[in-house]
Amino acid sequence: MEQEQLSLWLAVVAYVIAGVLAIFGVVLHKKFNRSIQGFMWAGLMLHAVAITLRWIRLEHGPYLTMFEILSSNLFTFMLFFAVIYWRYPPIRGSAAVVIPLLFIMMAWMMFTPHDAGMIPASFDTIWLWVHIGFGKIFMASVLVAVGLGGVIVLRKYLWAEQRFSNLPSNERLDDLAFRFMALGLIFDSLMLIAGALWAHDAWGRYWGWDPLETWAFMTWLVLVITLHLRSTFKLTPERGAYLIFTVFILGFLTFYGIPFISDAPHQGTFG
Amino acid sequence: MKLPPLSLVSYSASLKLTLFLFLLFGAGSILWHFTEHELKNWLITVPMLLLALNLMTALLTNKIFRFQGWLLLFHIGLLLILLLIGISQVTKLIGNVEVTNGSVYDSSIAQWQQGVLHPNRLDDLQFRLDGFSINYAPAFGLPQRLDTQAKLIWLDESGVLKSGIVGDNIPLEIHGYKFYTTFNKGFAPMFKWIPHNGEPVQGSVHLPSWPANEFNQSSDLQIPGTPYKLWLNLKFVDTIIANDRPSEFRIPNEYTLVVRAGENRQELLPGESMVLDSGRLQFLGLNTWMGFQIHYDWALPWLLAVSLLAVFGLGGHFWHKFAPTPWLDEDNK
Repeated sequence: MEQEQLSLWLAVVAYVIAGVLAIFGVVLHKKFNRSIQGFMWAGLMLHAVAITLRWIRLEHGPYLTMFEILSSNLFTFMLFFAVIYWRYPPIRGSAAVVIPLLFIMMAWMMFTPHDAGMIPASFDTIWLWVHIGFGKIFMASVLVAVGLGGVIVLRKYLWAEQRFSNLPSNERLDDLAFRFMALGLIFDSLMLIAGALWAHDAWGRYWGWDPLETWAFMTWLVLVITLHLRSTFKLTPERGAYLIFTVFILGFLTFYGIPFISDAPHQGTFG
Repeated sequence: MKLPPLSLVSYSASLKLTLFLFLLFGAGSILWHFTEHELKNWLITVPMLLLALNLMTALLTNKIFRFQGWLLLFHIGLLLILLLIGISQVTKLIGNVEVTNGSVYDSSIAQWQQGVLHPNRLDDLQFRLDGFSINYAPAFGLPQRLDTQAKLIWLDESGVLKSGIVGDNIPLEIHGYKFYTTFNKGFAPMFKWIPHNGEPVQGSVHLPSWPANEFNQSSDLQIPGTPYKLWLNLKFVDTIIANDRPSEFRIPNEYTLVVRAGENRQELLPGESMVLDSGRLQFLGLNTWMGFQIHYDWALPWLLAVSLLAVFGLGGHFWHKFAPTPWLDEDNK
């Protein structure tokens, strides 16, 4: 238990250092790429240790309590971004937007009770894993798009335009952001399908318009509207960025707001 | 055949209309939650119908679909999803039924809602509940339900007697009907009515669901063939589902049944009787009942197939759209 907590705290410290370096890198116009990358991967390894230790101790994966959901999502988002950071050097500057966004999740996670929960019988299905796996990839994709969109919006300000001058043009960032949004739509659609299969097995209906289902559908709809608007009208990169933010905020509220209000990760789960 | 004016067709296929209908659909979905009106389902149905129309005309008239096969596949998938949801609504059945432990399923006490084209075969289904278990464990000072298992014996489609255990994510499936175990269960006092004239009859009364109605374990009993309507109330002090330790739903070790017939009130132990003008009512003891959810929807596998087809089309579309240009330019910009 102590090792688990220690690993988690050290992971958060490593993430925070990576984020702070990313911000300083932009503000001071200096490259801390290797350090940022090192702290991100070190944090991920420590985080993986913390998750594994808890998994072994409680004999179930990190998907039950709000703490576990925040922890596993933070891990997935960070992992996804770390891969992008490593694979696409030109957009590394977006770390100054993405990692600070994850600070919110880190703070929330650390202040959320770390108690264990009980596994409802409806969680004993492979579709749960498929459903949440697709959901995490969806949100991670949108998060990267938010990072790119964030750079586009920040560039409006003179001080930031210079700071982000080593990143590709707004048009290129916009194109990349919408590629990630497209990826997000595919995984969001798959998440809804897997969720419907799970719901059908667990509760005898594939769709019941419960609050979480409704808002998950709203997120999908707004994502579709965003991609439709972009293909129908020639949106400026800045407007495109605001649409990406809307999808992210809606997705974030659906992921964390609705379960927070209904005290269960999936309202309707507990009978 | 006379075609409608071109302007009307092009307006129905408009992408701007699609966006408006998306917004209408979203607004309808949210409003659906805040109204109890009997016609509230139309808030979702109308935008879906309009979207289907918009999509259909777009598929017929928009030239882009002739050049982009993957996009066509995705949109055909979407249209089929809407179509199948519509077919599902008129052919499906959703219901519930309570079954006494040790007894056979009785379709006459089932409650259901069915689509206008549903070929109802609930009367043809036969199964018997041969015991069930529902386990609980404490979580945050409250009992939380764990696994539910029910032992069933049933006649399958070919008339062969089968037995097995169903529960939680595994339903009993006969003739396409799925019976899911639920958390809905309770106690069932069993009686034998021995009239002065006529044959004795045996039956049970399902008391309200436990533990949701822990403090209201009462019900009425209409004695068959008589005007007697008795009031029943189960009394016991046992803790069935504990807050602080693992427990299982079970019959209490000691209990009495309060039976009231007008001014006549008696507390019966198992085996004891209440004498009425036209016969004797014997309390045989306590049994349990379980609620099952019934579900029939033949469109579901097809809905899954076309949903996956649509996502496959979407993936193909984006792949072909993005593949010609690299994620980053040659100079890594």
